[in-house]
Amino acid sequence: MMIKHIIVFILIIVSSIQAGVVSGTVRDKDTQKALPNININVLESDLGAVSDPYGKYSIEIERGTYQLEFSMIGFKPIVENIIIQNESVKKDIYLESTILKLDEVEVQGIFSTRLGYESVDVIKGKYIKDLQKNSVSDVLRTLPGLDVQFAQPNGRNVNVSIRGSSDYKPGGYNNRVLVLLDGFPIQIPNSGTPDWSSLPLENIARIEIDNSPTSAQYGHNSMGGVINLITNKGNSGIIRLSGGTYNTGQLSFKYGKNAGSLSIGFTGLARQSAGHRFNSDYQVTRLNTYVHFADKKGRSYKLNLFSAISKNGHPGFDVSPSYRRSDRTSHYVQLHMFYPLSNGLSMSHSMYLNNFDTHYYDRDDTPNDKVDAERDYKDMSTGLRSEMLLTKWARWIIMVGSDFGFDQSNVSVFNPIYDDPRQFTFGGFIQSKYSIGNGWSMGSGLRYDYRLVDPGNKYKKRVFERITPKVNLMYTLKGKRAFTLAYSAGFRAPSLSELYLQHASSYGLTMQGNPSVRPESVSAIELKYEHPHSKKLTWSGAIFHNSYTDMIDFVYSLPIIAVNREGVTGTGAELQCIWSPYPALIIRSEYSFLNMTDKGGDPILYRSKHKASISVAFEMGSYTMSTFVHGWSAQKYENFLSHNYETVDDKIVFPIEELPDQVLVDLNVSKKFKLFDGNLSISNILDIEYELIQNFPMPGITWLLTLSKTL
Amino acid sequence: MNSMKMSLITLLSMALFVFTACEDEKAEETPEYGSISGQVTFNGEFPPADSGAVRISVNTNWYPTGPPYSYKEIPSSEVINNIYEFEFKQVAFGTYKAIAVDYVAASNTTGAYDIWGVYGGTLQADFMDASSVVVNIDNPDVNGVDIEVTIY
Repeated sequence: MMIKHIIVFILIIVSSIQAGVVSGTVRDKDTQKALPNININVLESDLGAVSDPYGKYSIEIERGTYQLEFSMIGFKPIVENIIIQNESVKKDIYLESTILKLDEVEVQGIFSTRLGYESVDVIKGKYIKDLQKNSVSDVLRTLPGLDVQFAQPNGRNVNVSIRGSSDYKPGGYNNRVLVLLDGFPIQIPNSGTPDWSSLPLENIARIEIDNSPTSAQYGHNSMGGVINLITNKGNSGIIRLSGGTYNTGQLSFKYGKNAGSLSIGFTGLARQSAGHRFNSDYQVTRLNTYVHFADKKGRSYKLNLFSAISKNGHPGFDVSPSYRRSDRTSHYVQLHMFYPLSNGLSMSHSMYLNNFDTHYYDRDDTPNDKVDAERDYKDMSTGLRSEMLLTKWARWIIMVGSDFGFDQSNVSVFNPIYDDPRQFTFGGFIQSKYSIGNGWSMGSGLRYDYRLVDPGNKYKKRVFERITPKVNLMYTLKGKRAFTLAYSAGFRAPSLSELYLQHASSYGLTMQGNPSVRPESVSAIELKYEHPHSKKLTWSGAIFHNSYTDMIDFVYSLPIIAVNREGVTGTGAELQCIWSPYPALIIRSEYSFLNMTDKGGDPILYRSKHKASISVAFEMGSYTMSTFVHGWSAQKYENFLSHNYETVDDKIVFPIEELPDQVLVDLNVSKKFKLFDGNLSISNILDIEYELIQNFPMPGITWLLTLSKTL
Repeated sequence: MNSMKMSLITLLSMALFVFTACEDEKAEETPEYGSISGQVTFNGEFPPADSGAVRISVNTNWYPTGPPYSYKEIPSSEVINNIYEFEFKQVAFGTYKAIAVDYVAASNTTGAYDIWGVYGGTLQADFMDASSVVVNIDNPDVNGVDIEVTIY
């Protein structure tokens, strides 16, 4: 017993010799008040601490020289050099309050001032570049947790679903995911989906994916989550020239210049391809210009202009090829203004104007029995949002605001009795984040939404209104967010198509909106763990449960009509791991599980239970190689092309069939030459035959060679 | 603080504008869809359920090409004294070339069916003399679409 005590005593003595303690008090530089809940990180290790209610902190640490980072929302973070030679070091810290220069409060556009916890995955630009995909929808398709259906990578109709929020229906009329470009909405009002051809993949800095219902902040159309595409506005210049299979050719350029308080830039792309099937050719031209100005008083003004012209063939089902084509022009004007009102109080205003013109017509060689009428879709939307942000208190930040939107559709597939249906939307919201102490913090939000839909003439106007809440509890470990328990609600008023559509498809089925359809909603709960990151390994895991009420769906009756479904739920889990054992090697793996159920017994379509991916990228001298493997389990679909269907009451029950599970492999090789960079990307290298939508075969092995010159 | 006042005024003005501009109209509701109703009289023995399905359909084309606009299956339990009363609701305004009753045998796996009767049509003319039904804002609810069916 005596020996044990002696050993323990010696260990204590030894450890006390080798370790020291750094301690002190953190105060507000202006008020001199003590600051609790300040995150303190030792940058050279995983050590960290949080200041106590009196602003005091203490970290035991071995001898050496360290950098300590002190940070908290509402204050400018600082890094202090500390030398621990022996015993203890006292270091008092004075933090300067600041306005909106922190990661958790980010202003980009009309709908992107993010506050507190949302389950956001950030897909970085380098990862997107390494994928070497053809379009934004093609990139999204590779991400576990997301289901994407399209007929071809550059096609018109794309359905994106996060955590099983929607299935595929011809036309994509029940899209529940809000897609933003630099924080601004770009949805086509008639369907609620964006013009996918207009999305500038050639200039994406990162993609933020908010996996949970976010109506408490974003309002309508975000009940299935949010995808925010952030474009690159840095100092850069590059020209790229590409060529590949199916006579694919592409030329793109980008130039950006930051000159003091002024930033300007422009990007452009022209791309065309003969397509992998009959009538799947496309051409797309995109242009983007921006001017940003920021003065020394913290005021900033941003103007973004996006334009896109696309011409697409619509290949149709393999059993009945289509001769249909469409031309579309899309324009987005985005204005954003931010200015501080006083210390800790700021204001922002944003405005956007979107315009879409689409013309559908037949090819010149269309057989007489396939000739269809020419159709025009004209859509416009405009909106205004104001936000006031209060960051003057150390523990609490608050944002209040309101937004207003107006959309109009003049679409020839709407019931002709209506005269250019239009909708007015108003929302008012409050969001807050409060630091409780000891690493705990709480976020909450509440939003009121009001939408009036006016079908024109003397037909009934409809009003949809709802209050949606969110609340979350977070726990911080070692200065980084670790555990999050979140509840959020989602809400969506029916789209104009779900209310007023009347269109007979080329395969004989009539799709009909339903003016009596009710708005749909979802309640979601999520538990997420993000392992306190080291530089080499990051991983996270989440489990979630979503419960839908009055889910709007086009069901297969005659006609195919929009109805409300009851008792749809989705439960799942997601795992993500990024490991970089050496700076030149990055291994990223993801897995997601989804179990959807419908108490009404209607089939759950186009949702894989399992999705997984692994990518390996490594650099060796002037070479960079990356491989990407992703797979998904079988997806059910309702074969509405089958003549072998049953009739139950007034519904058609088509045979339920399966698209089989798949594994696809892509390969990319890049080399830096003296004058330019070269890249060869090979997609579907195993030449797998597969479909994302029934009877729409996807391309086999394809390649694209790109030469790029940095200016 | 002037800026703050201006900002608050902007927010409140927006809210006020929207609420006043969007006040719901109390106007009388105009029908947006119609209905077609009537009765089918069966002459002959109604087939048992396991032998096949008797259906009534609303057709935009006649003879039919492709699926009908809408249809219902007629269960034997709802045929009372050889009469079946039907109603199609939420029918879009338009002209429907034929309201037809057909039969598809359970043994038939090709989806082929026999036409048994059509509103206004006669077997002698091979039902090509079917009467159209027009549903519009002036006459949204079309009643009396009665069909005589001979089961053979």
